[in-house]
Amino acid sequence: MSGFETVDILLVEDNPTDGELTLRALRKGKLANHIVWLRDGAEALDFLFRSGSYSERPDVNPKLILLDIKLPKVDGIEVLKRIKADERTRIIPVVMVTSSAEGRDITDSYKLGVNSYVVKPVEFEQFSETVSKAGFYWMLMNKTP
Amino acid sequence: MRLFSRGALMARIESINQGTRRNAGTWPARLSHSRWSYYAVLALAFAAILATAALNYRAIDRELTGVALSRRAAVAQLAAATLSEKFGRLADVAVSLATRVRFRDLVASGKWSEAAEILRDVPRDLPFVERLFLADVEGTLMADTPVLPGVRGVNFSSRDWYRGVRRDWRPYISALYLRAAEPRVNVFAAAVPIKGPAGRVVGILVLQVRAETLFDWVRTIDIGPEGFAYVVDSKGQLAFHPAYPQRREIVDLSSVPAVRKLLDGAQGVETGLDPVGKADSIAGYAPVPGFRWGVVAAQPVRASRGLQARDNQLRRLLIGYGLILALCGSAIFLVSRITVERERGAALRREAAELARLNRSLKMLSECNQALVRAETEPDLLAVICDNIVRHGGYKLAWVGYAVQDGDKPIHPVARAGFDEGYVDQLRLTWSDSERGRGPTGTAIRTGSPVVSNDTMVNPAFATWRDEALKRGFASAVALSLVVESRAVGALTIYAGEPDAFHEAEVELLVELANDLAYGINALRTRAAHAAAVEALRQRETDLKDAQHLAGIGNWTWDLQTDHHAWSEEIYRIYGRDPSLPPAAYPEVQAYFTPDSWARLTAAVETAMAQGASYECDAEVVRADGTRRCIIARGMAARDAGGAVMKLHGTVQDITERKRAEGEIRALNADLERRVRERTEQLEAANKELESFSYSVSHDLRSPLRAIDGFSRILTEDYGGRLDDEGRRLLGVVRDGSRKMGQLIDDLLAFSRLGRKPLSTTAIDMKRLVQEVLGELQASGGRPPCLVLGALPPAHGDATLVKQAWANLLGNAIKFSSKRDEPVIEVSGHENGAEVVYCVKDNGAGFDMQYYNKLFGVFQRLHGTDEFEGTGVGLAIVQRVIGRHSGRVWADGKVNEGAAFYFSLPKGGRDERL
Repeated sequence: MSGFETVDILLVEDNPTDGELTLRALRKGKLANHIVWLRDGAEALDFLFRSGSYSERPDVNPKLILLDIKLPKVDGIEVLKRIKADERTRIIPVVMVTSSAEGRDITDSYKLGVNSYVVKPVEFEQFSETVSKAGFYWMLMNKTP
Repeated sequence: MRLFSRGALMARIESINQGTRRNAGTWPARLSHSRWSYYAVLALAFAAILATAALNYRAIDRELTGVALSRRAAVAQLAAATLSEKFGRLADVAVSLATRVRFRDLVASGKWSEAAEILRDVPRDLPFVERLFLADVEGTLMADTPVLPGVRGVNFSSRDWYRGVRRDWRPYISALYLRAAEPRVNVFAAAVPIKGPAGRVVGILVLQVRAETLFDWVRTIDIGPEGFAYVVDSKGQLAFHPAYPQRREIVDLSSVPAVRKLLDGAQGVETGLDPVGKADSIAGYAPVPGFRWGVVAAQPVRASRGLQARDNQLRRLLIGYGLILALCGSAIFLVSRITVERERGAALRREAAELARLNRSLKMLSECNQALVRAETEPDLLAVICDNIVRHGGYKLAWVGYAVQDGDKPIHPVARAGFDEGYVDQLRLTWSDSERGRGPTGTAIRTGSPVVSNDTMVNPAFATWRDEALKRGFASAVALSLVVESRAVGALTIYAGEPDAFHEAEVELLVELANDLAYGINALRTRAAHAAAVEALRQRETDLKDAQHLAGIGNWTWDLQTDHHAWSEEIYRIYGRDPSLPPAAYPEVQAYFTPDSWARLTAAVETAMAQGASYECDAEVVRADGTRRCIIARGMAARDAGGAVMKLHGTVQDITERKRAEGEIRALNADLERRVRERTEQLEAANKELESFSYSVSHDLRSPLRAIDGFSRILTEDYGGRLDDEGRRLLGVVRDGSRKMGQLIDDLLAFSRLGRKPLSTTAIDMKRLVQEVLGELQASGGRPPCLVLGALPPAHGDATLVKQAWANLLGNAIKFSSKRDEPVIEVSGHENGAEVVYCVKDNGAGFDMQYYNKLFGVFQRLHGTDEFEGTGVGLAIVQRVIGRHSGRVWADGKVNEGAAFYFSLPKGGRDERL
């Protein structure tokens, strides 16, 4: 497979509308280049650790991961745990994106070493602003070494 | 109960009787003292009489002696006067002879013989003139008659008569001398000068007189029986003595005291040894006036009539005084005899009186004894004893006071009898060592010894009460301590109307009475204490029986020595045994237990006995009627000093009911626990469901909303130009609806979170918190209302939640007053007991109190959303927050006039689990 030589942002989001809205928001923030959108946690792990259908992928880490918590197969918290547990992926900034501000998810995420946390507002303007701000921040401020 | 020692009393009476008999024969010993003084008086009287007699005797002796002596002196003087007269006559004769003219002439002319011749007849005429002679002035004998041969011409100038006449030529009576010629007898001479015509002395005429002549001269003088007078010449020579009339020698008596005094010219009386008579004599002496001779009139003392008279007189005097003394002695003897008899009579009467009193005392003691035996209570005893003392003892007043053991140590009168008239009550005695404690009663209690005051009039201890005592005629008193168990608990005080009523024997008896009274008090107290103890024991037995019945516990003993078993009533009941039967002994009792219970029980008993411990064992009892009881048997062994088991004793507790109740409780508890477990599981499941529901709501409801809103937005952005106004408005409505839905979901989540989140309680600075909230609210825009901030006392609570409540209330106030022209919001708080009440008041839209019950419900709104925005969760959250703090929320409002919301929080800290 090709198209994954340079990945700037890895978006893991099972909800297609939220995913579309996120992409739109990132696009509006001029961050739409090299975005990979994956639909579940297992796929995300395959992608990151170049296994399964992504075993051919070049060894290039994304510069930012936007990770939904509620995901099919492997949920966001588990994915985060695996990312932060592996030497190769630990340094990749991860921003958790979730629909709710339920306390437990937030605490669990921070315990696992998440870099940021974003609650998706219902209102689109707010949503797009939040997402693009978070993406912008981590893309620009945290240069990949 | 001990009785009075009547024997001692009788012995006392007997001793008095014996004393009375003894006194009938002898002098009472009591009199000896007065007798001695009596004898002293008598001796003084006798001495006075004797002194008087001696003085009288001496005076009479002196007087009569004087009389006798003066008689002697008078005899002497008389003799002396007689002699003087004789001598004078002799001298006169001589002078008359010498002065004859013829004779004088003859002598002058030297015719001595013729002259002598003239005088020749003279010795015949004057017989006492033995002879006479003439001498010349030289003393030479010139002539004599009768003539003696050989003497003429002899010079006699050495003779005394010559020296005497020659001295001044005056007539001179010479001293004695021996006659020169035979018979040589004692003679003396009267010599006179012969004077010539010219007056010249021409010769000397000497008349010689025999000394014995003097005897004739003094013979006539009465000199008394055996009396004699003798004459001494001027040389102290014995001239004449009746015993020696013919003395032919010269005896010199000049050494005799009377003679010596005579020679000195004195006269007087002298007693002493008569030198001549060789016997005691009285000698009066007197000089012969003018002739230097002297006369001594002596009489033997024994012969003196005066002295005899004196002696007779004195003898009579002595006899008289002797009689007086004898008379006095008799009188004294009689008087003393009478006195003694009287005293003995008085003593007998006294002892009879004492006997009577002792008999009275005996009667009194006897009555008191009976009272001691009969008395049932202490007050009775005291009253009867006092009454007996007054009635039978004949005293005026008797009372008993008890010593109170507190600070002032007062004496509390408990019984009295007799003539009291308020006397005892006004005494206000104490037994402390103070003024009111030094009377007989107080002293008796303090010292524990009897105190006798036999004279109230003078006893200083009675001074405080004397007036009152005398008013009632109390002349003497005795206080007797009542000693119970070695401690003086009070005193018995007795008053008598006569002084000295309490002498030794009486006090002795009364002391015995007091001791017996104390004994009686002690006995009654002991009896009362015993009765109380018996009653208490009986009560405790009843209590024990009741307690055993109530507790279902019975007790038993088994005396191994006697094989005696004892069961309490309750054991009979537990075992269902007929109480009229004796306790079941060892083998028989086994029938009351199930076999395994019996095995357990015997094992427990044996183990306990072997280890010396007590045992406790559950057992099941099977009664004769087949019903079963659960018991706990407990017991232990009582051992002697050597460790051998003497006795077993123990309890049987019926725990059937308890076991049944315990079973029920256990079942109930198990059921309850099961139900709790079920409920908890249900609750946990519900909580989980709620959680997942919340999660679903937050994730799954928000996602489509976000899609609605987001894609409506995209539609507006991307296709807005193709829609008309109505299309764009409709898209707006869609977006607005999704936004409100999002708000509702958020509020609902927040509300549900409140119930789960634990409280984190701290002290809250409420003023700062409110200002913070207001600052945040005002930052969100809107018309700024007029804020009135009152006092906001601090409180305890979860700051985050309380802040949420404040935010909701203040947000409401701002919201509902926002349409006022001049919105005013007042915030205040005040302490109310243990809580602090806060209030948020506005002048906004208010509410209708009719719908008050809907005010705090979730999603309940009293205003339309078109009027005021809101989801209807705010006040529900407030109520939930405050409710979790155990506070209260309430409100007051009126439509269009405003609303006031109150909530309270505890002042102090709350348990965090609430």
